[in-house]
Amino acid sequence: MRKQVQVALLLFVLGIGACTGTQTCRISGLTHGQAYWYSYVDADGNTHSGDFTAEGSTFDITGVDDSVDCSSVDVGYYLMAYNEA
Amino acid sequence: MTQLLFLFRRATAIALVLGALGLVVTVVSIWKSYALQADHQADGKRRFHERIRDGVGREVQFASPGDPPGIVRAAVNSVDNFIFKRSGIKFSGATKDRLAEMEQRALNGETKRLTISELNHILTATAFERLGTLTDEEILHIDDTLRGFNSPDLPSKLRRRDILLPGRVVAIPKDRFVDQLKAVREQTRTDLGDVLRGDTHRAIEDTVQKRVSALSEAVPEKFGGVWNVAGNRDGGSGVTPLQALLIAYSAATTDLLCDSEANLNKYMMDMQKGRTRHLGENFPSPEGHHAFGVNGYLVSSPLDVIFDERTVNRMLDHIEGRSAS
Repeated sequence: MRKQVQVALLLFVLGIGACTGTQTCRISGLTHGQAYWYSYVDADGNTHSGDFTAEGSTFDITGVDDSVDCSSVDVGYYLMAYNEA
Repeated sequence: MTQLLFLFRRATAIALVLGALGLVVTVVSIWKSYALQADHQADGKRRFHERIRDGVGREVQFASPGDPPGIVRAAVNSVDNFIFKRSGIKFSGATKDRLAEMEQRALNGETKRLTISELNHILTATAFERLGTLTDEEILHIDDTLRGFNSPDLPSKLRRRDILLPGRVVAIPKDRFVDQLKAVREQTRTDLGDVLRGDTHRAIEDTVQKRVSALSEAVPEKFGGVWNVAGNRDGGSGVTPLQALLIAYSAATTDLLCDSEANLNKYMMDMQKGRTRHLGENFPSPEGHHAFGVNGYLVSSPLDVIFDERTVNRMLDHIEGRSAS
């Protein structure tokens, strides 16, 4: 029980994926080694944008406002000329 | 009345046949879609492995049992150069000497190789110790570097950036991230430290597993037997101190060890084009920037803090401790 409380406390302290009002949006169907971009707008109207390289078939965006519909997260992959040949 | 009943039965039969046909078409479409997706995944994985062979496979040379000290030192230099070209981090002569001695002893069987589980414990212990000694300045630097490549001429759309960690991004404002990292630093010295250590261990375990799995499959001549991919468990052959260092670097930077120097440069140029196209604004050139490490063009990470001389030597201390037993 003490351990459970500690875990809960730790997650609270870390604030990663466990904060009230936030959620994790999981992007799936990714290809190993492929570079992707993502973009979404938070509750305050700010656009979050970035990119990542897939290391598996899924990738998580944690700490996303609850008000954001995960299906509205825009994801795409970069067309890379040299390794597509 | 009989005719009406007949028509009704006929209509029902036609509807059933059409329904069944529709179902068959749907099932076939779904199956084809899954098959295509599986093909695409397999093709992606094959190309990913080719890129690993082009990177670490071509540019890193490990020594073999029985090799003379000169060859072992050349192997250490090849890893040092490989890491430097990609991230700008270079080890001191003293650290390379130490690493070469440790590598020689492991190759000669005087010390034992590390299992992946042991490596995870070593990386956890090292990361945990470093976490507890972070200064406020270093914490600010960590926040800054984890938010990706930065430049004065960065497109305006990239002003609000998330923290990029292996396998995920975290949408968190700077002040909250910094406060929480400071709190975590303090927690390492309390009872909560054990829980935090467990959490750190799980995160490291997950990342290391992905790395060694890909390396075992892609470059078996260098990492064969390290990970049993089919059984998804330790392969039993163990890793030498030099292999351990390279895996630790890869886990710390999210550098998947793909692409030779020339192809990494081409990749960065392609990324510039891709980012410019996607953002609709000119993205800064990769010229003069490393792909990984502090302000890395592809992935930025605080390598100067988590892979500095002191931390690397602490990791080597732990490796020596485990290898001797």
